[in-house]
Amino acid sequence: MKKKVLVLTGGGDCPGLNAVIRGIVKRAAQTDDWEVVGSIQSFDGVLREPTETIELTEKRVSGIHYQGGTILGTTNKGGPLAWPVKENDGTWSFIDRSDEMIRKLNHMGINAVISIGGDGSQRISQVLFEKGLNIIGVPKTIDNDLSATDYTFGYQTAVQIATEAVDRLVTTAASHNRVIILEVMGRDAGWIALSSAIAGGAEICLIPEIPYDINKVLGVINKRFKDGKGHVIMVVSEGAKPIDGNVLSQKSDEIGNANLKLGGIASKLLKDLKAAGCNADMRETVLGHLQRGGVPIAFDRILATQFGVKAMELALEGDFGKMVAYQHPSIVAVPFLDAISNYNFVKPDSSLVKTARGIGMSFGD
Amino acid sequence: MKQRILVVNSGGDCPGMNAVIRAIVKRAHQESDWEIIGSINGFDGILSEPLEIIPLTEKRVEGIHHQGGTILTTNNKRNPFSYPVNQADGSIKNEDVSDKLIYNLKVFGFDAVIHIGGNESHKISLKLSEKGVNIIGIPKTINNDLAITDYSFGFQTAAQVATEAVDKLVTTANSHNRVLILEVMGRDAGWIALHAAIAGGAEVCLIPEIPFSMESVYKKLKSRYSEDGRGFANIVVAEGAYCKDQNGEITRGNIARKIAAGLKEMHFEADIRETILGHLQRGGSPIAFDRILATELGVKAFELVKEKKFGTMAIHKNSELSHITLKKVINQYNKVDLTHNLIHTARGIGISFGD
Repeated sequence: MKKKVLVLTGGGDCPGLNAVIRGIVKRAAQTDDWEVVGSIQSFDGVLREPTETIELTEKRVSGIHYQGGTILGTTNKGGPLAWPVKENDGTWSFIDRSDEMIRKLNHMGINAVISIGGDGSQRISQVLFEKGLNIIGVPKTIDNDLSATDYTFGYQTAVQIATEAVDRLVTTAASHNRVIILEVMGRDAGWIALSSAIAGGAEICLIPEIPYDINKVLGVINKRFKDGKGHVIMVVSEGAKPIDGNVLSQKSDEIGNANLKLGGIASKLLKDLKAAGCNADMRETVLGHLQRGGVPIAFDRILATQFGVKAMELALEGDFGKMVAYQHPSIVAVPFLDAISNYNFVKPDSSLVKTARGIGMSFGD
Repeated sequence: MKQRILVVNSGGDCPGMNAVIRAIVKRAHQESDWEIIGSINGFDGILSEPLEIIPLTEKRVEGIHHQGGTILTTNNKRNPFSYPVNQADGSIKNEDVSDKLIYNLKVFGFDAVIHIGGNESHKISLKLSEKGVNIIGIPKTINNDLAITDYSFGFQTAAQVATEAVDKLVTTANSHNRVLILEVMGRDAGWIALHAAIAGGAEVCLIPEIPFSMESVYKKLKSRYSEDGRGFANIVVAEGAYCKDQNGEITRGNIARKIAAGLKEMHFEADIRETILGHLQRGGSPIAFDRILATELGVKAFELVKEKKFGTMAIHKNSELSHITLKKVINQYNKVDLTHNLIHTARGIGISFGD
């Protein structure tokens, strides 16, 4: 009988997930004794009755590496450690179904699990590993906010999309002498904003790591108009915050989703700038999920394929409890504990921030 | 008086050169005492009479970072140490005009030169540096073949362009059950081919670092046309890849056509077509990755001038910017190492290198 590896994707989707899945399946197909099964919507496919899993043959994954999203579906709610159960009174409670799930996986004849997901997923993986599950992690975050790996797939595609948005906004801002604010993803780390601001050529970039002063921002805008460059492009992370305030967020109304919903910083800036006396014509664009959709750029497909192959090889070697990571120019495996203990924030003295300041970009500080 | 920096770019163009130029200028304009001048067409601008140089103001470089090519134009056949000079009898002879170059730099008040270029360009930079020119290099190679920097701008754009070509060729190969061969750049290093083959999903990838045999390519293709095969195939081949037959005889140049002809000679049953991507890989808007890298290198190069760290090159190493002496740059070639993880990954998903 063939050995089985179960693959699942958890957390928000990002371009490259399918390339990882394909990498795993194609690597397994180079062996004679492994087959790959996919769980639908993260661990939910295993936890549901009847079980929702699909056989991942080479044919099934052919050509999926350039499709965005994930053919397995994903969710950032619930999971084996906090499965939502509706009580008689209509309220929800959450139960731990991990032991039951591990028994079920054994029963299904699963020899190894590869979980592709963000820091939340890696935390779940660590708990499951401690309970004896043969599990391997593949990092996934569009925000590039994991320090164990130089890059995560999906991030460069998001930067490219945000940059193309800046390209477009520059020409319309210049034509109408406007201030245009572009809100991009980045809850705690401003990588997408910073990178697209440099690549697109924005004048102002506001990121969570560097709190801004609204009067400084206004000063930069006024100077641009005074110097005769009658337009301004501002790229802001959804998690950007003023020096004297908090990040804008609201509780998610999805059951079991612990993440706060961020967003609204662009409109807030617009309002606050007006209140501070900015009389330029201002507009906002919120890029939203365009950053997660579409075809991954070559960089991300290559990285995702490398991750998939490496993850499958860890399964072949029986090397569990680890997450694959890119440490230029190698693909390595790091223990979950190391992977989830450190975030990758933009360091104010990094070369990227220095470059931005070097070409005259303001962080509103 | 303001200090003057001459910006020179030489060698083949690649997406991101304008972003470098813009970054140097924008960085210089953060201070009041610097002036940036561009030399037209490599060193020609500073060597011609009258000079062909242009002041690079902030206004002049506005918005150029997303334009491919270089506003200064470039030339890969102009070496000041062997420069074509018109002779009295009407003939042209190559002469060493480096002293004239140095004289012109002095007379026109240039304090430093920033030279954007590839391997050959930096050999020139080193020689000029040894003759006392205050020079800083910026690496430029579309082939990713400089060992001293982790990334060079232009390469990721070329890999992206080549990947999109594979995407397109896959659907038409699939529809017509054809073998499609894509020839990409890479005379001595197969990085573009390797990246595009993995990202696009080709079955065969041929690179200069791994000599291939027609028999091996034939076998791999044959398996694609077997009963459980997909009935089409895509090959990505670097222009410098070469075939070695059993007698050790080597075939190179026009390699896509030769592979197609070879397969026909071996009576491969499927229809075979070839595409040569050529200068599409050098043209167009740089992707965000390259624009960022180019901007970083431009800023760093200016700062090296300011710190008077002459005779060095700005590089990107271990996720940070740094610099290295030009002496160390020379003769460090970045070929695809056969133990590189990308080779491992490619083989891991069943890509054949024809070996």
